[in-house]
Amino acid sequence: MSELAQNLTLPGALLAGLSPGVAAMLVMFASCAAVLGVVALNGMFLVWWERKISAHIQSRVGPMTTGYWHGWLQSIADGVKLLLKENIIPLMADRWLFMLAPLVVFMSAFMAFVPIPWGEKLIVADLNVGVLYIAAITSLSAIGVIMAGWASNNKWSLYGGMRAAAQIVSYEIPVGLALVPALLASSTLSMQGIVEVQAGGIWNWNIFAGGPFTIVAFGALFLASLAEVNRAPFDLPEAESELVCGFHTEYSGMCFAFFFLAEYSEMFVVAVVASVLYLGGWHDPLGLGILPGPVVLMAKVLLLVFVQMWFRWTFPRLRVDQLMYLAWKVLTPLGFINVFGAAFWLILV
Amino acid sequence: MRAYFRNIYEGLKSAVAGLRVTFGYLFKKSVTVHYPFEEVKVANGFRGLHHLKVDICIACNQCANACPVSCIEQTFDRIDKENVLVSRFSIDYNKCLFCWYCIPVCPTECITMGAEYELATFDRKSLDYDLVARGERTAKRNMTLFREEFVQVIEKVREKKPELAEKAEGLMGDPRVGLCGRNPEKDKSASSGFVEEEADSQASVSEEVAP
Repeated sequence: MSELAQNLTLPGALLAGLSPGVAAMLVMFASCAAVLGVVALNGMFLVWWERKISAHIQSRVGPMTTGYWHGWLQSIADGVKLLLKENIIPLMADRWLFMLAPLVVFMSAFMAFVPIPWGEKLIVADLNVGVLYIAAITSLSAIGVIMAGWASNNKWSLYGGMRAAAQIVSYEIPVGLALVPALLASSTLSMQGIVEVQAGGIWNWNIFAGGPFTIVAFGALFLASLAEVNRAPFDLPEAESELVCGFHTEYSGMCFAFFFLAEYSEMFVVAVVASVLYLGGWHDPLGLGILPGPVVLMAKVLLLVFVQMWFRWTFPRLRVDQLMYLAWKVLTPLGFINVFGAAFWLILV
Repeated sequence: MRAYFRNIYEGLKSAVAGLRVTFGYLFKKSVTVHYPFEEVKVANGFRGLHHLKVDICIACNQCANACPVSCIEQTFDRIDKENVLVSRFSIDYNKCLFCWYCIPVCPTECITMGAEYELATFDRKSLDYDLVARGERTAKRNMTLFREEFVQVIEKVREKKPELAEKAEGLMGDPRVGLCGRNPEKDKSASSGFVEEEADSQASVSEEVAP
């Protein structure tokens, strides 16, 4: 985590007088606080944004009163409410597992923020296996979902957990295969390295590196990542209308808030992965380098998140077998075609 | 194999069509009315709170008889053959079911239903509305003229029933209303000619009917 300290040039005087151990601890806490702040702010903003988008798609207006301007403080009001609410644990629930599940889900979303490259020198930890790390960490959330479903001791929640288990084996392979063409194009697994390869304008982005194959791979990655974050049309573990919110039916108060925050953080993370791998990360489309990196990255990520929300309020939920069909029989063969096609394209063209 | 690719093609096509529809709606004007801040417009013939044109009400009690829940209560004093003093016309909105039955039975069409619907209150008792106090009168009469004729009616009964005259005066002092009921048959011809007409009916002052 020391990259952050060097990159942000934290006041040298502050750290110089301290022993290396204490300094490292301070840096670690600062990094964690920064990531936590981004996670929380991002979650609150996306919740409000989604409510606005869903409302306007349905000819409504969404929250309008809290904060006077289009209800911009609504998420804070909701957050305070959830904090103050009683955390109800069902009598027959597995108490410890029940409490642990939201933390596992939240941790996986939280840890995935670590190798996100925000700018040339703005990254918490530039892991040399960044992409692999994110793919591994975000998959952990499925375990938390299954834990929640099991611990609730509620048949609908258990169904939700089971569906999450069935879903993870379906979407993980298309996701993995859709990541590969970008990695072939940039020959590195480090998130920062992938972004650096794509410098110099939109024509250098990975999405165009492998001809049609990388474009299709980007689409496949986006679709499969919707299943990864349990968003409509692949929100089978939640399934409000059939499973009464599935795995988090029994959750209330802060535990519910953790699930909610984790969902929106995961949305953000998969959008970051897609934009870093295929859309040039913090490089702007014209290769001018005028705008600061975080702004450019945020613009791309919010665009992708908007599309996620747009999908959610357009498509009805798929059946379990339809999801399996899509993942196994359409996206997986397509992934293989993309990998080999992109590889040949990169060598031959 | 063909069906497989056809399936994918159809799926993509319908997905794009759906996305186009929702994207269009994203920028269409919302239909939401910001209710407490904006008024909700009601349809024609909406059955809202009652309006009573107090000056043409003849206190015939027909509306109260028609009411299936007995929420209407009239308090009136007969001044003479043609003049009735309606001092209270209460509708208890705790009971009222907005069925509209009181409207068609009214011979003078003095009671109607309006567009107001905001009844929320902190106290059940305040739902007992006095329509006289919410007073309204027919458009053709103006307030000062109405007061004049009212004063004349009071003067007529002063000798016979001083307490009734006093009561009427007290009610007239209320700035919200001037109150009187008149026979609408005679009223049709006389919007301003009340004073002349009054001379004819002077003889029949003595016949009073207790409410």
